[in-house]
Amino acid sequence: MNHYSDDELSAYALRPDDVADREGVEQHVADCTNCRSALDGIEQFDAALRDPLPWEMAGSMTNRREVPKNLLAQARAVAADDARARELVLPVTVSHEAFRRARVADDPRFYTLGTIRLLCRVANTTHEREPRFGLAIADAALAIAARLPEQLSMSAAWHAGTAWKERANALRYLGRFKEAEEALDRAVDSFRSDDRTEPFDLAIVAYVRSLICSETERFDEAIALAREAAREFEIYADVPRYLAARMAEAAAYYAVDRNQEAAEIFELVANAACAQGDMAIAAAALGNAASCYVRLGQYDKAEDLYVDTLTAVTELHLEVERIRVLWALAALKVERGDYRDGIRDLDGARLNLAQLGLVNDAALATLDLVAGLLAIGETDRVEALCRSISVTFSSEGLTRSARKALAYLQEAVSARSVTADDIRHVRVYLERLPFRRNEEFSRLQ
Amino acid sequence: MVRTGPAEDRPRSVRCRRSAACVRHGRGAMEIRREATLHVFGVILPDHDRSDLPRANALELLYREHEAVMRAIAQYRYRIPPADAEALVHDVFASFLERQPETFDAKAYLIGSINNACKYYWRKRQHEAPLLPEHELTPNDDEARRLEQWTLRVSLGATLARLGGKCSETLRRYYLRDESAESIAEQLDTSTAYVWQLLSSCRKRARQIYHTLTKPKR
Repeated sequence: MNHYSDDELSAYALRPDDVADREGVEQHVADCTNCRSALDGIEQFDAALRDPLPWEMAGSMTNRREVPKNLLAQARAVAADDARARELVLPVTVSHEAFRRARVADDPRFYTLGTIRLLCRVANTTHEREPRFGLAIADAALAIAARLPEQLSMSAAWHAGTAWKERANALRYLGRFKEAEEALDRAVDSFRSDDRTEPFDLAIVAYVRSLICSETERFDEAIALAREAAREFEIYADVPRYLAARMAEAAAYYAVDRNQEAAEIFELVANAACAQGDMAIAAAALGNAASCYVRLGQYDKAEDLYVDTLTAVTELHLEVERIRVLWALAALKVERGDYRDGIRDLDGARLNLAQLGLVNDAALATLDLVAGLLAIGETDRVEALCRSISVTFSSEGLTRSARKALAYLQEAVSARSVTADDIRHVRVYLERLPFRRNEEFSRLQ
Repeated sequence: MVRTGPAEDRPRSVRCRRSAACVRHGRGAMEIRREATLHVFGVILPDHDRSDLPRANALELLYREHEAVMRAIAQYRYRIPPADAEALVHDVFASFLERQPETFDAKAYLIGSINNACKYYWRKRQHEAPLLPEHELTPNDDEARRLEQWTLRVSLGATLARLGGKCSETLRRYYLRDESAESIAEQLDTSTAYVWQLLSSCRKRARQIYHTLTKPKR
């Protein structure tokens, strides 16, 4: 198909009667979406030129203004403050021990805004690896915010808010959710007490709180907060944060079995992330959408999405995720009644997961395998497989709850009365345990 | 088990070239975001330029590119008097400088920020003028779309401001005043064919400027 150039389409939009090949253009744009969309763009632009407001605005925009001198001076002062903060902070944040020894909160050289900003940034990148260290850094930033000299106190509120937020982040990683929420309350108070409250900052707090709500099984709150955060991130066109907030919202829907709503959001995120080229988010969203469709019994759609996920995680060299997707595809085969291939693939997946040290995932994959074997009456390996299952959680409470579920399974295996329903019951319980920490295991009636 | 986005509140992006997985889900990306770049106010600076001087340069770049758009939003969307609009833009830049938010799109952040500053401006003066729906602090689902439409209108204003005098005048007569090409030709003492040619080239030039202004910069 020969496409029309922008110039040809523009000429048609301006004077259709004067285009020699008018019919040809009209026939082509009726069939060609690319040229139709290019012509639409040109026509919309022409129509916008009839709007008087842009013309009115143009009058006040003709002269480009120079940066006011006081802003330039501020830029230089901030740069100098940051440079000094880097000299002071970076050497003492190389380790938790070095940081403890430096006692930065007691040293007036550190009482600057640049130091607080830098400490908060360092804390933010430390939480995931060393949340206790992250907490110590955030607390030091907080202490400094309270001790700033008089002339900097005008700017203290926003900096204190940021430090409270980092304290909340650290506490969240440490599983101290109640304290984390209290820190978030303080962050909001600080941000709101500032002369220039920025909704963007409050949206970040809402997003963090949404994650905590999900971890503490308050899913309705999690959904509302994530949506509120997403709406604000959209206004600031912060695509990665917007997508992360939508993911959090969808994950909360998924946790309460509102799978259709979850699937729609996950697919929207996948599409947006693909358009942005953010493949890590796209892969996670595609896989999540597939999981929703499995629950909804829409296996064809689920399979397509898992295959796309597999492509994405393979391209990203995410080996663990690749093995997990292969496991999901194998489980899907069993679910659809393709037992021979499904069981073979599940066997491979559980071994791969175990080799990677993913004990809990290997346990769930083993349960999927047992369910498949029971479904076709191949019970020879069931007892041995069930006895091989072990799980591990960082929290003792979770490990105890999981052991209770496994004990129930062992009991049924020993009595040779284990059924596919028993397996499914234990599997669902174990899978949801990290998200429903307080749920007690109940025996299948 | 579903996987959520990054657990920390600063999502990290992994950018890659067009992915086969995205064929059914959208376009692939253009670039790989490299680690060794320095972001100053959302503007990516070359690796070698790691001194603090770029901060002032980056500010100048941002200010020149976005100040007029921000001021126009304050003046035309929120009907804030010109002197106050200017002061608000100044405050937004001052706060941006001090807080150094990790933004995905500096222009969008600044526009979101001026939008918010304008709402606060009128809320502080609610005894002088009644609050309108656009002064609501909690955004509804449409807010991002409406702000985007305004930003595009303002960007068109900026485009027209950058067009040359002859182009601007010809387009204004034809589109805004609805004058015919013949009438414009008569007024300009030239041929109708030349006016059509002018209209064609000026629209093209305007579209080019507009695309440059609205293309996201990160």
